[in-house]
Amino acid sequence: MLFVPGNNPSMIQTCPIYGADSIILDLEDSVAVSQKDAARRLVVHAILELDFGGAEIAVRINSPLTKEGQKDIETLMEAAPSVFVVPKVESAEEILDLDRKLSAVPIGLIPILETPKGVLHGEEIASSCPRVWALSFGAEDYATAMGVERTRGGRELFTARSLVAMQAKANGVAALDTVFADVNDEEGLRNDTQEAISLGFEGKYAISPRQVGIINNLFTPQPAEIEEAKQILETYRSGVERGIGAIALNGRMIDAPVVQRAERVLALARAAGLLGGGME
Amino acid sequence: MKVATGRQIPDQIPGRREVRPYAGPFAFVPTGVKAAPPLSMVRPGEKKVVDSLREAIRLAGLKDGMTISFHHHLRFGDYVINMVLDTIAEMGIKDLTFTATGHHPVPESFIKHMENGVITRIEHAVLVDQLGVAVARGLLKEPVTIRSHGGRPRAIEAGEVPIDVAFIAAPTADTYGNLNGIDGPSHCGSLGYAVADAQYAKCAVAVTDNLVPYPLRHISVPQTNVDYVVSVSKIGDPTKIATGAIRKTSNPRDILIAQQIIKVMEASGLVQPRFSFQAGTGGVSLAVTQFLTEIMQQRDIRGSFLMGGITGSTVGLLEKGLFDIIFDVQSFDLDAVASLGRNPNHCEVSASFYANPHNKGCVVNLLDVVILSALEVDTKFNVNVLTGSDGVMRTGPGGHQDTAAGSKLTIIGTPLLHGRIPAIVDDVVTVVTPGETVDVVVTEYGVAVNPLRQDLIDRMKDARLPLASIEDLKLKAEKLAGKPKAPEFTDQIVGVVEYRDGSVIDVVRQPRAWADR
Repeated sequence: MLFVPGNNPSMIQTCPIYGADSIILDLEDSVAVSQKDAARRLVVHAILELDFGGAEIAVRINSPLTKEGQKDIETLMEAAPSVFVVPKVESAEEILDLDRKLSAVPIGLIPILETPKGVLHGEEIASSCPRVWALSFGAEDYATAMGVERTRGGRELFTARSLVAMQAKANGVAALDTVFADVNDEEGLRNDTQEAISLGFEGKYAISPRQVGIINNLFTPQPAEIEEAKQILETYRSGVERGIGAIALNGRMIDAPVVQRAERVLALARAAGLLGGGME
Repeated sequence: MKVATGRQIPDQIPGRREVRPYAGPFAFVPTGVKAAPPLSMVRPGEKKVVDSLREAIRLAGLKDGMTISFHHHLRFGDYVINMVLDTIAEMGIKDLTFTATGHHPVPESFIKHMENGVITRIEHAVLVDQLGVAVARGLLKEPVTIRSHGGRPRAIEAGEVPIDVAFIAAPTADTYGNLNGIDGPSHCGSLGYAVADAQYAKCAVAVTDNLVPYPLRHISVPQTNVDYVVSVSKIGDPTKIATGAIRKTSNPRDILIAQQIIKVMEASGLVQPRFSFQAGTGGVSLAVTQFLTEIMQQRDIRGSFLMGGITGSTVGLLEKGLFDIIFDVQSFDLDAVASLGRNPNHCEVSASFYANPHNKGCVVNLLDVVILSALEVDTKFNVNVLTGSDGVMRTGPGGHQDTAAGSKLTIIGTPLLHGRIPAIVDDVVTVVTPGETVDVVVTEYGVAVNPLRQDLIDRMKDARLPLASIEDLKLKAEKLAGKPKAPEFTDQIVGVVEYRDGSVIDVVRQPRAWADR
């Protein structure tokens, strides 16, 4: 999911070409206070007039607890992006309040948990209402609130990150990982994204088009993974047809969790356009 | 008369004896023999080092109406061109024809020399800065002739551009006139573009700020082609001659275009052992070079030769063992300069060796893949690398025509828009490189393959590329930026675009906006 400053028409116009699944037109941190009115109008116009290809359009509004956030909500309901990304959410009440304001307008919500209180209340936030599509983690503000320095290795984020991923999964919503702020550090981005994948995140925020390809590649199953997944499913289905209870492939037991993981790999591969029709 | 691209050109052009229309990249076969400078003699004990530039000009016999030439290896750090012109003006010499091989700085004094009649004709130059505007204003007696890097030595060798005095900026010169560009405080690397001038000029004057005892160890221009040597305090600004290592781009749009270009190259089937490659020095080219490095290392491919504006990135490919040889006609950064000085597989070559179509075989004929840029490309794949959207000549063709003609695969990498101006248009303002020599256009919004290359179209189908027709790319550009109004011109011709074989492929008329100024 690629953040694009909402007051930059050139970036808004060109952002669809970079292959992000979602484009987040930002009205919050990347837009100066003096520019927020103009950004709001530009974002509405962009949503209504521009062709973003197949990308989903999201808007990161300012916190609904602020005047700017209130204006964002009122103005953007007209343009109706797919989803609002809501910063610094700390309670289910904030989400429910927003849900009431949005009324019948079909805009989803992705809260960003970026304070210790927000992370600890992730469970209730995730389950607060059907509009919540995903939970996401915001490391920069979290680290500031915790009074710790954000490091390249990210050890200081491990607990909060894991918690957000678990809360999302426990409530059947997607888990989205925080940004990696150093756009020149491609190796660091790779490591950080691998860490997110290993913790169960299904997507990651990007703050530069240069990060999109790297993140997409890592979240996309590799050919060897896809091949293994196909073999697992084929072996499993064959075993079921023959009435065999305990099935093994290359010395490894194939049970329900393994099958589910294989199905998930193939679903991701299909979504990335790496599979045709057939048994998959 | 109509040329092979469909453009109309006048039957007669001021200052031009013959107007031979462009008929195809290899349609014209030359006849006759090469031109030659006068025979000369230097006796034992005679000295070539003279005390001053003024004295050298006097000894060279420079008179009104003659032709003087310069190379552009010192690029925007060059002091020699303006130093020589100022001296010539002080000596009262005028009505000269100026020819330079490429970009050079154009201070106010240069324009003044045009206004004051010191320079009245330009026989090829790259019309940057105010020089393009001065030409658009009609300051010259006759149209400027624009040639490619290969077309210029072709014209010199054929006697079409007889040079009276070649002034050769030499980062290092020995006392008998051997010159190189790799030593000295103003080092620039290769002096490839100066070779034809030195060989064919009636008189060659070396201007150096690093005069050393005879003999020089690395010789780019030999003593047998140099008449006089002048030592001055500085021939250029080193910070603007060869930059520090040109860094790869971080522009995500350029990176995206480069990634698509790499996919095109791989799909073409040309990235194989012994393949040859040329790219420029812009952001897209540097990114392509970086991605190519990764692919060649992964697939254990070793290429044969590299050409083009040589940078640290190109040198990196050589030093990693991914290519056998670099042919260097122009060095762009300090890494390239240093490599030329130490690596026997980094070879200095002349512009004629590189790209002259009328010799016994130039390097571009053996090129597999070239990556080029463009100001505009039209729906017939013709390329404009000369005139801006206002009709003013702003740059020059470089090796564009030459490499496009010679290479098996010519790829144009360009953003769809330059600022707010579409790069893909119905008809380019000026045709410099004919569409029949251009194979693929890669933009960030899609990839268009020339319909003349059905073989490539078939290969690209499975390459997961965003293929589009050139018309669709044009429509996309217009949807984003609108259709720009075409510049208006008067009937006066201010520039003649020669194809590399000496035919005329297009003309540049005076932009109406400058006619009344």
